[in-house]
Parts: sequence; C-alpha cells; structure tokens
Amino acid sequence: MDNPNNELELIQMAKNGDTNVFKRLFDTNVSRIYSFCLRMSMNRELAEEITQDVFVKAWEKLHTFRGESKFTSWLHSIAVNEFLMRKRSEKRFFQRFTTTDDIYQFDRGTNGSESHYHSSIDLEKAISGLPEQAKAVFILHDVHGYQHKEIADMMNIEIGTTKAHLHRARKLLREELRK
Amino acid sequence: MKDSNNQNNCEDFEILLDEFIDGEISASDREALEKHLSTCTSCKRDLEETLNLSKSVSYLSKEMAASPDIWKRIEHKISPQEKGTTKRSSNIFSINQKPRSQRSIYEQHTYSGRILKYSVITLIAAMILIAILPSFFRERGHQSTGFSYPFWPVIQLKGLTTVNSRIVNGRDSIKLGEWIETKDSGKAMLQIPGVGSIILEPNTKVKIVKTDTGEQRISLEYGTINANITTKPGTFIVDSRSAEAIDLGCAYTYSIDTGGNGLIYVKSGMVEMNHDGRKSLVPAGKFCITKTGFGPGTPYRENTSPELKDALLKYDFGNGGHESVNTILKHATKGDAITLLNLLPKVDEENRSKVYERVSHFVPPPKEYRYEYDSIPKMEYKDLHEWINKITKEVNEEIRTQMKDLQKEIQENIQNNMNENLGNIIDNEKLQKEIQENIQKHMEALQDLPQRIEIPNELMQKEMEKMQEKLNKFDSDKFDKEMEKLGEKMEKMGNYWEEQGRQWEFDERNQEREQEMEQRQQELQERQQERMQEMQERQQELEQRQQERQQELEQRLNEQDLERQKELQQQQMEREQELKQQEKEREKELKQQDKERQQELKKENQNYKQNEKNKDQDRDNNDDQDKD
Repeated sequence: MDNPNNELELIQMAKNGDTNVFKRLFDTNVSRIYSFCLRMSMNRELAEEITQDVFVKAWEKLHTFRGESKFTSWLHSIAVNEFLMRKRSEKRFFQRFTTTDDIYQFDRGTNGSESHYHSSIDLEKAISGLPEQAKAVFILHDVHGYQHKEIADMMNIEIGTTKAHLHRARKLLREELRK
Repeated sequence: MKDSNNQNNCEDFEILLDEFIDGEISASDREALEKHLSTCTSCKRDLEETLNLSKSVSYLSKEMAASPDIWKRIEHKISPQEKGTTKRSSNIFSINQKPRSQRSIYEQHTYSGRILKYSVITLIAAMILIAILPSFFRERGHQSTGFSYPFWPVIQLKGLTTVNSRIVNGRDSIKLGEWIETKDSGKAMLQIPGVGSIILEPNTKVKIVKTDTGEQRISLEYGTINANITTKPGTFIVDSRSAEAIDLGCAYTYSIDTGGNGLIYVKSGMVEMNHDGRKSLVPAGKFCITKTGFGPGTPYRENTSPELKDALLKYDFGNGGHESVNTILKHATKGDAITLLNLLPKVDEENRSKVYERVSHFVPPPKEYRYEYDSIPKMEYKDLHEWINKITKEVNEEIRTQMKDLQKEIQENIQNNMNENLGNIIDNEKLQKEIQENIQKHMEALQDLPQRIEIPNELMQKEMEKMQEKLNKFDSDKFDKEMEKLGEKMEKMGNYWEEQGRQWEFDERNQEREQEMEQRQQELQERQQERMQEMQERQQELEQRQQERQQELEQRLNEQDLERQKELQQQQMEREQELKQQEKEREKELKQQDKERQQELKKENQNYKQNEKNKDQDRDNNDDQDKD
C-alpha cells in the first residue's frame, strides 16, 4: 500500500461492507501474512487455513480497526494470536505437521545463490524448532522488522518479555547452527 | 551496567549483545561492552555468531505467494448471502435517503417540494437523457446487435461509483462477472449496447451475470435502478433474491433492500415478475411487491383503496385466502382490473368465477376468453396478455385525458424552470438550443405516449416504506401464529415431550459443559506441562551456570596458587641474589679493610723502622758527641 491515505480510504470503504475493496486490501497484504503463517506452521495447508482465518477475522473485526497502527501490523497481530490460541486450545495441533519442505521451496525461489539456499534450509530448520512465543517474536522482529514495542502490543505482553524471547530465540539458534 | 564489579559477568553482557546488534545500546553500555569484548572470547564469539545469524536471516523471504484459492474461500465466508447478516440497514429508505434532519437545506427544499415540481425535474432529466442519447433509445430500438458486447460502457453521473472496486472517473466499462456499485453520493448509467440503459441510483450494487446475444442478465444485489429497455421483449432480465424481472419492452424502477425484498414500478410497457413458478404481469402504472421466500405479489395501482391493498398483501404474503379475495372484489374498481386479472391464475375454482365476473364487468375479455361464469377454466399468464393490453388501453385512455391537463401545467412549469435548471447544467448555447428543440419534440411525442407514467422517487420510496412495514408485520404475525400453533400442539401432546426435550437439552448442555471442562483441563495440563518444562529447562540452565562458575572459581584459585608460588620462588631467588651480593660486597669491604690494614701496618712498620733508624742515628750522634 504505497499511499497510506489511500489504504485508510479503502479500509473505510471495506468497513461499509464492500468485499471488493476488502479484496484489494487482501491482495496487498496476503503475501506477508502467508509468509508469517508458513514460517510459524512450516506447512502449506495449515498456513493457508490460518491465512484464511486471519482475513475472515479481519473482515469481522474491521469496525474495531481505528488506524492507530498499520493495517499489516494489525493483520500480523491477528495472525500471531491465532497461532498462539490454536497452540493453547488444540491438543497436539502442531504435531500433525512435521514437514518443513514447503517453506524451502519459497526460499529456493527467492534466493538465487545455492549457498544461501543451503544456509537458509539450516536456518529454517532451526527456526522451526524454537518454542512458539520465541519463534513468533524472532520472526516478527528479525524477519519482518517489527520493533519490540510493536510486537509487545501485538502479543499483549511487556517489552521486556519480547526482548527475553528474542534473546532466547537467538541463543537457541546460535547453538543449533553451531552443531 | 556501569558497575565495574559486573564487568566480568557474561550473563549481563549477553543482553547487551542483543541491544548492540539491534542498535539500541546506550553509549555507556556500549563502552562497557566493548571493554568486556576485548577480554572475553566467549562473548566475542557470541557476537560474531549473532551477526552471522542476522545476515542469514536477511536472506529469508518476507513475502511468499499464496494460493489464489484462499481468497475464494474467504469471499465465500464473508459474502452477505453466506453470512445471512449484513452491516447495512434492512430498510431500503436508509439506502436511498438520509434522515430528513441530516439533509442539506437544498436537499430539504427539493425533498419537500411539490410533487408537480418533482415531476417536472424528473421529466427534464429524462428529456436531457433522451436528447443526449437519441440514437441509443430510438434508433437502436428493438434491434438485435447480432453479437454480444464483451464490455458495457459505464458513465459516472455524479459522486462515487466503483466497478470491481475500481473508481469510475467519467467513463469506464464493465464486463461479465464484474460488480458496479454506487456509493452514498454516487449515481451512474450502465449502457447495454443494443438493449437499453440502466441508471443506478445512490447505494446500489449490480452484477453483470449474462451478456449473450439472446439474453442479457444482471443481478440487483440492493438499491434502486431505473431501466429503459428497448430490446426484443423477454431478453433482458434483472435477478434479485425475491424474483426475476423479465422485460417485455418497457421502462421501470426497481428497488431491492438488503433483505432481498423489493418493489417494482413499471413506467411503460410490461414486466413479467417470476419466482419458482409464481408469476405476475405488471403493466405500466402498476406496482408489484416481491418478498424473499415468496416471490412476486399481485400488481396494484398507486391510487387503489387501502382496504384492497391490505387484502392483497394478506392474500399474497399472509394467511388471507377466501376472506381476502372477498375484500378485494368488494373494493375493486375499474382501475383495479389488472389486479383482478393477475389474480385469476392464482385463485381456486370457487373464487375464479367471482374474479372473472368482476373483471369482465369492468373490461369485457377478448372473444377467445369469453366463458360462462360457472365454467371458467384455469388460466395461465400467457393467456392474459391480450386482455391485459385491452385493459391497459382502456384505462390509459382515461389517464390520457388526465395527463393532458397535467401536461399543460408541466409545460408551463418547464418554461419557468428551464433557464434555472438547464442554465446551471450546461453553458453551451448551441447544445442548450438543441436540447430545447429535442425537449419540445419529445414533449409533443409524449402526448401520444400517455402510457409512460413517471413516478417521483419520493412516492416510490413512500410506497416501499409502507409495504415494508406491512410485510414485517406479516412476518411477526406469521411467527406469532406459528408459535400459537406450536403451543397448542405441545399442549395436546402433553408434557412428556416437553420434559423429554428439556432433558435432552439438559443432557446436551451437560455434555457441552463436560467437553468444555475436559478441554479446559487439557489446556491446564498443557500449560502445566509447558511450565514444568520451562522450569526444568531453567533449572538445568541454572545448574549448568553454577557448574561453570564453580569450575571458573576453581580455575581461578588454582591460577592464584601458582602465581603465589612463583612469586615466592622469585622472592626467594631475589633474596638469595641479594644475600650473595651483600656477601660479595662484605668480602670486598673486608678485603679493602685488610688492604688498608696491611698498608697501615706497613706504614707503621716503616715508621717504626724509621724511628728505630732515627733512634740509632741519634744514639750514634750522642755517642759521637760523647766521644767528642
């Protein structure tokens, strides 16, 4: 969304029930949300399912979006909470999905260098093994470039906690990649 | 972190490493960290590894292409039809009209203007349309284009209009499957090549469903359209949730609310309303209500009696039946002949002869439909066209007379309002002249076309409002009756099933609660397990750290012992050397002293010898002297 005013206008139109305008907002943001979901779940089907749920929830809750944060941040906060909620409520939810092949296809596609590809595989594997909250904070901070304050707001936790999660994630990744 | 006692604590510096990498570190902490890094190889390694990690992460993709099916599934879930609810008001008038208090002074003035003035403005607008697009409405009339147009032109008349979310600026086009939507302030014209034109009033949403040569079909989701159709009858269809409107060569206004209920008013020609085999033929000057789940009602005229209208509604959408038919027949006049005729295919045999008798009394049927009143066969709508045309002709003849009077008044008003209204719209004098000529020409033509009966928007809306109120009442009446019936049935069947039902409900709730409890229990267990795991991890970490510290301490102690030992040895060696040195110096000193002593002794000896010599000499001298 290059022009933020334009995004706000579109959101306003979508709030009035315009699904076609909502489709435009979907088109602009889906690749980022899907990337987050795929990295969190490491499974294409599950990522699609959760991406779908994120946008359906966004549509239902659109009237609560006041434009204080970016629309993408808002969507990411729905996505991360959707994951954490599922993690809590569904027993062994994520154990159904153990493959990590899906995401590597994308990394191969986006990074031309073979060495990058291999290091990315190791890294993605290592990320997939992180504890859920630490993984979410690491992906949001280091991959998507959100600040601790934004992540704390998204996950409804203290800034100190997000820093601790990030530290833990980086430490675990360092140890994993050392092997 | 300024406390120098903590400088050697790597644990504290680990957090600073993160802040350093993320560029969030303060100058003092940075200084302390750099000092620490210059001595701590472990932290230095952590820093290098974290920097490498950040570099690798930067190669990961932030965006990934998702399957296009996701949107299809989302769309399916969020579309109003699917959800069964909608954010918009279910009252059509909230779509078309703001509350009166919210209107501008100009709007209030227009809104409260006399119907006649409203008619004049509507007429002028219609005339301008005809003047601007004469070839469209006249020359292409009743002609088939021979092929379907892939795109239909869209003209923005005012305000905001979108085609599939694309904002229409002036002129645009729309293709099969796309949506056109006018917003609160928007108004647009959809041109259908070889067919006619549709004006979309504010807050209207239409989808293009079919663009074949033999059939053009649009879907009116909600809002109001004004259709001017000049194509072959039966080829242009407007779908809605409550009925389909098949054009039989006409002009009409069609409103649908967000609940799918609607009202059509036919200005010229005829429209066939259809839903699941339930039909109505609506000629010019007639209204027809459509209700979701029922289909079209029986057409009626604007000035029909309230009693007849109520009876019709009860018959069409309530529980009227025989009683309603009697009321309709009682209050029907010649102007209601079309209404009665539309009832003929619907009513049962007993009522059929009564209706036939009444309508024949007003306008006798064409020859082929003349029956004895006690032997009327069931009639189909296709059989009624000719009779309807006859009725329309006769009724319109009466209207024509009235119209002529109205026409005179309109012409006078047009002259008065022409400059005021047209001057504001178009400055081009030549064009104005052309339009005026066209208007004059069409005014003349209008005198021969009294069957085209315009309706003021206000009137259409009021009519819709009234009907909606009644339809809603029917719904609640029906609901109440159904509830009453259900209550009676329950009473008859005794309390057994009621209790049984309660028991089932109770069991079901219990089951739900149990499931919920089980789920909560599971969640609690999971959380506990997670916490336990975390605690264990932390415990392990702590133990590990303690071990490391112990080792470090031992190492340090060992290191300190070695250093002390070395120091002592060194001191001992130094002392030994010092002692040796002292000894040497003493020796030297003693030697020196010996030397000095020897020299002294030598001197003393020499002195002694000298003295002795001197003494000997003295003695010799004395002896000599003595001798002398």
